[in-house]
Amino acid sequence: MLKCRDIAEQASEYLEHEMTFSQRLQYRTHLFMCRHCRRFNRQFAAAVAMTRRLPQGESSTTQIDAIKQRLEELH
Amino acid sequence: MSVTYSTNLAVQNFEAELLPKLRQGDKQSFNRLVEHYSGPMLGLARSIVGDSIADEVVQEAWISAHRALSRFEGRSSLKTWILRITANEAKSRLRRESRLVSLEAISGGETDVLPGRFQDNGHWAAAPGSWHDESPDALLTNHEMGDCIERTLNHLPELQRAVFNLKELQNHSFDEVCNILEISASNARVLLHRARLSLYSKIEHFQESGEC
Repeated sequence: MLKCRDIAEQASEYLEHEMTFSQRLQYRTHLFMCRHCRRFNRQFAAAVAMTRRLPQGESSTTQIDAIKQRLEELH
Repeated sequence: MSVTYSTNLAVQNFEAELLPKLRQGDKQSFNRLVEHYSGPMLGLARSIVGDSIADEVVQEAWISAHRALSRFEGRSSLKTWILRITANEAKSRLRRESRLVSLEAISGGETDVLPGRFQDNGHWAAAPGSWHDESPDALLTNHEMGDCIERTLNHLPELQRAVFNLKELQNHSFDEVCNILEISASNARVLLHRARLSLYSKIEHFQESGEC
């Protein structure tokens, strides 16, 4: 029988569909019975979806030019 | 067609076109490579060494890649190979500065799941509170919270940040993440989950208090 702590521990595996059928069934059974974990699971999925869309920082033309310049010096 | 599949296909086509010319030492092709991959390299380098020296790490990585290109065997994509050189450059830079000193730092520090949130019997001690809006779109529109999350991300242990950057922001598969960072699949999964829990906790805190 899974505890709430296990739900928090396994939330990524559940989200990524990396569980066996039996593990997934146990996880879902716990969610069915526990409203706190249902809320956690929902919020965790939203947090993951949100943070995937964070900007990752692009390289500027100046930075790329500096790299090209440095490589040019090697030739 | 999934985004990852079409992205991989685009990378494969780009590299298949470029590789023969690169092997002949064509400068223009190498410049195209620099233009294409410096962004992802910089993102990865920043996540490991921080903003201030990420530029230098990327430059060093390009020099190493340039020297080693003739030995590239094609066992992974060129992009994965170059990112691996970048990660190694960044990690050795950290080691030189004695910032990456212990296994604890490599494994990502904290081992407890959501510390203080569970009773000894494994039930919630402090159950999750309700959020104003749980949709990712609504969460994204809160710019103060977005800034707060970015700051939190910047304070995660180095390898947690690197795994998060590669998997979540650059959309690499776990296999590629393991190949680039030279860590096991189970370690990569643990590091990513810890990063996600830290970010979840911060969002929860912000939702409850309105503060970072």
